[in-house]
Amino acid sequence: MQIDPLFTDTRPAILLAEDDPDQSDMLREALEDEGYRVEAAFSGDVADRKLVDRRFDLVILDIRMPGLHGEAVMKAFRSRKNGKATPVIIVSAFASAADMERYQATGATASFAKPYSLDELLACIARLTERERKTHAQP
Amino acid sequence: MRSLDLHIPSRRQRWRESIHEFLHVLRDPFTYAPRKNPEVVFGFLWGLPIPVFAIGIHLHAAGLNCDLNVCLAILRSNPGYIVFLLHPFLFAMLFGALGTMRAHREAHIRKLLEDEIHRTEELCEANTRLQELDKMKSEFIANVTHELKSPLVTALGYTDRILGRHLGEINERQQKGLEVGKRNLIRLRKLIDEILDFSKLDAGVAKFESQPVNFSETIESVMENLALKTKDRGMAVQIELADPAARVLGDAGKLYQVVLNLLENAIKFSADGSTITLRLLQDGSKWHLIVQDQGCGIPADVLPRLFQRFYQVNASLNRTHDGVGLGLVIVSKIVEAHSGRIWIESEPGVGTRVHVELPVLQETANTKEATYATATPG
Repeated sequence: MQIDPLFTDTRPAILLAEDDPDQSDMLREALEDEGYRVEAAFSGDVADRKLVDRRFDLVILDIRMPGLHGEAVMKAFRSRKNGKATPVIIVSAFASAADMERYQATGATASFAKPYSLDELLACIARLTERERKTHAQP
Repeated sequence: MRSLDLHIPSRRQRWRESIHEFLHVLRDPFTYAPRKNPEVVFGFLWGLPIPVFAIGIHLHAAGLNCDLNVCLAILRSNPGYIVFLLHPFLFAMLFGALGTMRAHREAHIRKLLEDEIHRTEELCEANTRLQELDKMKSEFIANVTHELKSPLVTALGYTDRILGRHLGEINERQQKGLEVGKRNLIRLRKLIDEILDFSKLDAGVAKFESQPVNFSETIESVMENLALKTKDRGMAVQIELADPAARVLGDAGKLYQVVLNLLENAIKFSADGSTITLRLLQDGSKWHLIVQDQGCGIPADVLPRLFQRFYQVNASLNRTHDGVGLGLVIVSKIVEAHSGRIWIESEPGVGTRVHVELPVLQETANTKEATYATATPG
């Protein structure tokens, strides 16, 4: 009998909601290399559905996506019982100081302005998931 | 704007025109309805008693009785006097002509006024449309710059990952090439940020915080940011603060940008190994910030144009000095929003001195209630 990998996989699960496929791929690859399990969602609606269906250790949300807006997804998530404690990282090009403040007020754990530094984002994710970052051979 | 097209005739012309008009309207005194042309009725009534008066005067001249009844009897019995009955109509015609002229004049004036109102409405409409267009333009720029940022994320991300050996080993040449690529991506990011900042400031949608900002902290963090650049080019930055605790009311991030931009400009246009001086003096109720360099200087004739958008002293400099020519515009807009003043002194070949004046923060029991300057975008 085949066991669903969902039950055997002990890697921290991350939902990555990002509509740009290249960006999504880049971040997914980087995260998988760091040892996370990544679920990609390419629209706000899909992200919202996945957040209802499954449990994640961390959520990365883009703001401008087809379907539901990233902020709406976060609001809906935060209003549900299972979505209170999970860290949410907002990654968006709409990142003036006022925007950032609003994201924090609506429940974002951290927010990054595009174009972000991949290193900083990964460090933040590691901190939030309480994991040691895999150390790579630095040049 | 379209100029008002008013035809103003000379007095002689006016006179000729009114005679012509009078002769013309004599033919149709009843063109205008009596309500609009009451002079017709007035003239008719004026002409009615004239036959009676005329007969009365004739009788009086002949030394006869000029009783009203006698006059009327003569008028009725003598067919020759019938001609006098034309008087009311003659008078109605004459007065009616005058009335027609008056009505014409009124209609003309009304038309002028209506045209004027129409034109004003048109101008208002055009103005609204222009404002809408300007807003659309700003929104467009904001949207475009956001869209421009997205591909940068992927490009920078993959470059970082390859450079960090996450995708396998690379050789030295590959690394060098990627580093140049990355440096240029970062440069592109800076340009996009600059355009976005400018479009926000220009559209007046930039939000300014209003909090006490410490100058020395701002300068310190700018110096940290620029340390590598100045070290690379062997430059020294001399800092002289009159008061290390100098504070202004404003937006820390925006003021940081002001200091950073001014210092970056000074570095950009100076020779390697020269010294840049940053001084902060107190001048009554103003802080006076001076950034002085020993760079190439700015010719006097272009000084006033420095605060125009997209202007750089020498277009050919564009190739050696990156930037889109928005730095000083952004700086001046921020300074203005802080109720400050900015001006530049320069001597070609000797150096440039940029002055910024910002109001001193009035220290009260509760600094948040310091009300002298409400920072609003221009």
